[in-house]
Amino acid sequence: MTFIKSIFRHSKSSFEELVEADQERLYKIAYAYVKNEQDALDIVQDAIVKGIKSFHKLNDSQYFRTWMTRILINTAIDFLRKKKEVVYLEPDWLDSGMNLENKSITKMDFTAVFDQLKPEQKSILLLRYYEGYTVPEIAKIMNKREGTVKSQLYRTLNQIKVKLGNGGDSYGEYSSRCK
Amino acid sequence: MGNIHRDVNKLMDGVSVPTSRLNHTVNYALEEGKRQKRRSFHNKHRFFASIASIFVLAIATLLFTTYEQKNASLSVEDSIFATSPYGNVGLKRMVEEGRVTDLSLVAEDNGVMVTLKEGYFDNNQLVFSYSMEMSEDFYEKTLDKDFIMSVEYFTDGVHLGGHSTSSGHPQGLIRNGILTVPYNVEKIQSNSEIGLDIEEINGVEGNWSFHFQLEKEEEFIHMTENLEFEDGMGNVFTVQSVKLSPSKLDINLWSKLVPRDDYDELSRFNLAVLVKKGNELFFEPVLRRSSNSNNAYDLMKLRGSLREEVEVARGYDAYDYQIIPYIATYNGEKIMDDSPGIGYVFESIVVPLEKGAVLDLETPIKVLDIFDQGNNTVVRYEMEEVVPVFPVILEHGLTLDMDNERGEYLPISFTVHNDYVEVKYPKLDEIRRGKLELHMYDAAFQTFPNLDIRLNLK
Repeated sequence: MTFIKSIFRHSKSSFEELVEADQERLYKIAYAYVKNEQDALDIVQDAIVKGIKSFHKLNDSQYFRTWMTRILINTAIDFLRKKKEVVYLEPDWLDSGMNLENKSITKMDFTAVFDQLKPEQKSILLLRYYEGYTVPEIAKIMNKREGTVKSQLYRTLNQIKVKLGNGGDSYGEYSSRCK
Repeated sequence: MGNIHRDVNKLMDGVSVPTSRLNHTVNYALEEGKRQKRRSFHNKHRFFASIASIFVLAIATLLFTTYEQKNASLSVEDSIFATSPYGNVGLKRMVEEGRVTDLSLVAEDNGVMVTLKEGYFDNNQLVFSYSMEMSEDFYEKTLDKDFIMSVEYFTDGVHLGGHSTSSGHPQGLIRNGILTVPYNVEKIQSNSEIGLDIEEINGVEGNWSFHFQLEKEEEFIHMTENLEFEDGMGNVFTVQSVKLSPSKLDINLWSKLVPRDDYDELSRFNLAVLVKKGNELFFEPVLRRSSNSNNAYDLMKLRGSLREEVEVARGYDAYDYQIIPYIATYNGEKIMDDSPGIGYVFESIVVPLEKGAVLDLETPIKVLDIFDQGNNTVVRYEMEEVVPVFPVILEHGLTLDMDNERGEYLPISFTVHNDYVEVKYPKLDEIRRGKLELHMYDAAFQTFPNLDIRLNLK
């Protein structure tokens, strides 16, 4: 029992330090999915509980950030699924912009457009542009093929570009950046 | 890049952090995690004790099951063949018709318990389904790895060969999967003693060994005469041989396509395999196409002919097949990357599922009507040229390039009328109806109108 306690003490200490140093970032990512303080805190809490239970499997703490981000994102997506509040896009999104037969688009700001993305699209954008991961790294974090990540990133940026109207012109540079 | 990077960072920087509540939450989570971890440790010991008990039971079970197949019929709901994404409609039909054997053989080693659940054997394929149980620890260690399972096969004590299955991308263990013997199984006799040894599961060596007998389905139609079809324009399709078993149709096809100037690197040579019942044509899925040419489906490089084996699942008990070759030239782009290399992104066209919606392809497709008919939902399309490629119905938010386990409705069959084409889909879920869309990759299609490739195998 003493031996077990010492393992816990060691894990707890390292994990605690790493989490405390990273907690604000984790909260912000969680908030980006749910736009609600309490829900974001719940997600952070669940992710930390999951993290501490499997922290001993993380061989090198330099990968903590990537590892914890993955846990957090999966927790956030699970949370949304369970709450069945996944409104990927509001009906007016379709009516105003995405219908190819109606290309008259009301210009929106980036925050509003981001909020209307579905969770996986948010994940890809956050990982690529907030966290700065490469496409292969994102593929690994999200457990997807690189081609799928590229394709989804491409579509997401195109959606944003369409929705932002003129403001999105620069997003057209996506393909060269994504190579 | 600057703008999106700036916008995302601005968005995230703008999130205000409730520091006090966050500190409290983090502290609570650390305590709770610690508590659950302790509990999990004790449960793990109980789990291994249970595994040991099951193993003892399994030995007893094996003694009785090794040479005695269970005749109890499998239900579709319980069948891995019928429900796994790695299964297909041919195997599903075999389950429905009671032609799959319930093996339920168990072997345990190194903390992994493998159950060989189902077996199916005909002259085109010998397949098994398995399930695995293991400690959560073992499972979680595999999550970042490709799934690899090494298997050796024996018949009547003679080594048939071995192979490693791989998922090809990190997804952890496939706990409910299907093993296909990758050798010609024509010569294996019905009720031979079959040995199946799993030697490695994701880097963990062990000995999961099974021995049993399987009755082989007798039906087998093997046609070897050449059937040549040409369209008078130089395009030639020759069916060189056909092997039909209850679950699968294998076709050896030789194709010679006349190069055209409008082919580009996004042009693809596709095949639709159809079964005709009255005027209705039902899709049979092409499981795999294998060729010995590196440039098999790159029409820019394919300057001669293509010889390939086409494997088709038999979802229907039918013997008249129609094969429709077509070229799809997609709108999209080629993406170069260091890893995994060249990729392609095809553009999709998406419209709401409603009357009057138009999919604006080179040859537009218009929705004339949508209605339910028995267990199906029927969509009537107006289209100038009938190509056996129809929109897929997807729940809003899903895309064609995702693995859509739910919320996806694929075309089942179609009937050509004078002014429209009627396409049957699985009946749409009432709850989802308001948020369904029609999706299609944006492409120009070229068919071979003077070709009528038909196989009558009875």
